[in-house]
Amino acid sequence: MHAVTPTQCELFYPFVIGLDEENKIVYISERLNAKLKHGCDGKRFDKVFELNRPRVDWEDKNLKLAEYSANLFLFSNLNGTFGLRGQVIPGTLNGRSIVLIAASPWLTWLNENVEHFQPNFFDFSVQDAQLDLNLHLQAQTIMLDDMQRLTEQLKRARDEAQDADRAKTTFVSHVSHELRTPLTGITGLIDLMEDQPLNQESLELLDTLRTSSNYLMHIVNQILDFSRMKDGADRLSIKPFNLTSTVKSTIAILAPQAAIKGLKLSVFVSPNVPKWLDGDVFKIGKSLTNLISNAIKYSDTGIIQVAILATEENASAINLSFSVSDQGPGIAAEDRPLLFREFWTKDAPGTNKIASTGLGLSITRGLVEQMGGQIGMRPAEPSPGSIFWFDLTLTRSKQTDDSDQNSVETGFNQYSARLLIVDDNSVNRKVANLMFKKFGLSIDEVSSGEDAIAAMDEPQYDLILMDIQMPRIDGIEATRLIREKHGDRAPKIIAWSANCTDEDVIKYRKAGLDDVLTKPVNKKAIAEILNRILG
Amino acid sequence: MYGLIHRSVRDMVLQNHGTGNWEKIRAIAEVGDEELLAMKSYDDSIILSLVSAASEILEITSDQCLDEFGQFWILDTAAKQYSEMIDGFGPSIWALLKNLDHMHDHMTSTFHGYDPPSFFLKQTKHNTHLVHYRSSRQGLTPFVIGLLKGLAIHFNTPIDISIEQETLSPEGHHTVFRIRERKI
Repeated sequence: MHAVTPTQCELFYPFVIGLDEENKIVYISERLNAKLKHGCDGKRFDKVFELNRPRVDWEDKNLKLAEYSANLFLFSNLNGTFGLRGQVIPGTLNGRSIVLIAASPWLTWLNENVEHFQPNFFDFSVQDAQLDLNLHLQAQTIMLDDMQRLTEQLKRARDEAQDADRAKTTFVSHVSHELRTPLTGITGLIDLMEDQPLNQESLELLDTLRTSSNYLMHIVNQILDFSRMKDGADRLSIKPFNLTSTVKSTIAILAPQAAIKGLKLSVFVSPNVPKWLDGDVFKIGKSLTNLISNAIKYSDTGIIQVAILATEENASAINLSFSVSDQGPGIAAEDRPLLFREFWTKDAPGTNKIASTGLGLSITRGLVEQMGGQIGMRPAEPSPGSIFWFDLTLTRSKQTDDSDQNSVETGFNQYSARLLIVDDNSVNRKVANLMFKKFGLSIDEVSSGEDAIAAMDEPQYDLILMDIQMPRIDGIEATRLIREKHGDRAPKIIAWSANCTDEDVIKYRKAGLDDVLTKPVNKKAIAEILNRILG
Repeated sequence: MYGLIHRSVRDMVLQNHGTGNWEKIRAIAEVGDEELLAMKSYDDSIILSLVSAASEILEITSDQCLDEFGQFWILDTAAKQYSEMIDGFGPSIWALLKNLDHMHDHMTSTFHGYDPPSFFLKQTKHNTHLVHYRSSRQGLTPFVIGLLKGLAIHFNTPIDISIEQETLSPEGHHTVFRIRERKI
């Protein structure tokens, strides 16, 4: 290789250092000298620079840097203000052989070690890829800034959308609650009218009225379930439950609907499915109810088969597969991915238009997923129809007997007791009055928390049926004040509310309420609660 | 053009002419309100539509609009966001114009889809330079005039700009600017 002069070398490299055979600096380019700010002529290289790569022994008297021509030289000045990268090439200066280190800025070192480092374009030779790297680094910084800003914008937009969604859910929930209050009155009155002497035409009208109000109640309840699910307020409640009983009672409730359409409901529970399991009985029952209701709704003939199979089991847990198959018209392949979406509805082919909120399957999916399960649908090939299924893993329960099963006689046991009904809604008061009267109770009514508190001063009541949501003094506050004033002499107080989740019940208990009666009220529930408190 | 140019146009209208005018301009130009990525190449037609809409709404010519944008780019966008890079070009308007081409060379070799203009600086007298501006895009000479005005303000160097020669061809636009440095 021909030796080049430092000046020739500077045509290709902005920074050039010349070293003699003792590795002393005999040449340094003007631009580098200006950056170092200290004279370095005649000093050995390692007294001015720290050589990071290659590793050499400066005390070796035979050290020849020219032997390192295949190495990338990475070094910085001892003051730590400038880093360089380059290579050694044979050079000549005034007819004398020297070693030239031809270098350019070591960008990664400079970016890390020099605050606010910004290379000058004069620091690079035309061909220097370090400048490209510098541009890349700057572009990367800009892109990262962009990504960070866009991510923040997306997060803000998501938060706003979630807030709006929550507000909508809360609004829908409030409206549904408001709708349920008068509906509760209507269904209660229908219940009571059944006990009245009515002619055939009136009975038929009453039946239509019941069907319509039940359907309306179903929609309102579905919206409320959906709202609770969206709110995340609907928590899991794991308790021992009897699976066979749950399935039987679900079928018993839905069998009349199936019978009206001429459909047959059949159930198969695999013999190896344990009777007692730990799980959320409400959610399992609700999921089954929704799937069976759908099958009834969309089928005109045939059998609806409910099957529960144990697919895998060990000593503590069991995998159960619940399925509901129908012989309806089936579901088109393109519609199947949409089935479990919120508000998605489609009339089944060959059926009349079917009223639906489009929430049933999405609620069921939510319930199943909340229980850690999976849900899906497959066509019932080769026959027409569909099979909706969900899989759950449940633990075997330690409970093995039916001792705590609710098995209260639901006849009209008579009680000699005084009841005060507290509710701001007159229809609700009337329904409750008529229903409780059937159990022989002596009843008074008041329409506010204040009146309930005042009523405690006069007659001796045995029971108070306390509505929770009332203006001014609500049921919880009224209970607290009654307990505060009358202590142990206060009557038993039953919370009467449509909001009876596990959290609600705990709240009512903590507030001093003795028991809970869910709206809408029915005779069976009244019988059970009176049996618990007065029986 | 890269998204950083589009964003700068938006910033200029918002800062100099208000949100209402920007919304009108955006609507006429049919440009969405989504954030554009600085380092992504977007179709030139977006900028041209924005300039056309801006001249309509702001009641100025397209040339005036581009001139204003050129100055805004140097004095606001570049000064605020790329000031270190500008300083790296050198200490004077002339060093910058010389190194600008150097930077554009490297950007072309480095970034995909980058088609920057070329600036070649030639000194004719001690206070006069010719700047050859070559671009594959047509009609942006007023934008370059705005850039030069902005640079003169940035480096506190009063200059007179005249167009010595302007050639349009299918390959693009070639403009020769004569720039004379005024004595302060």
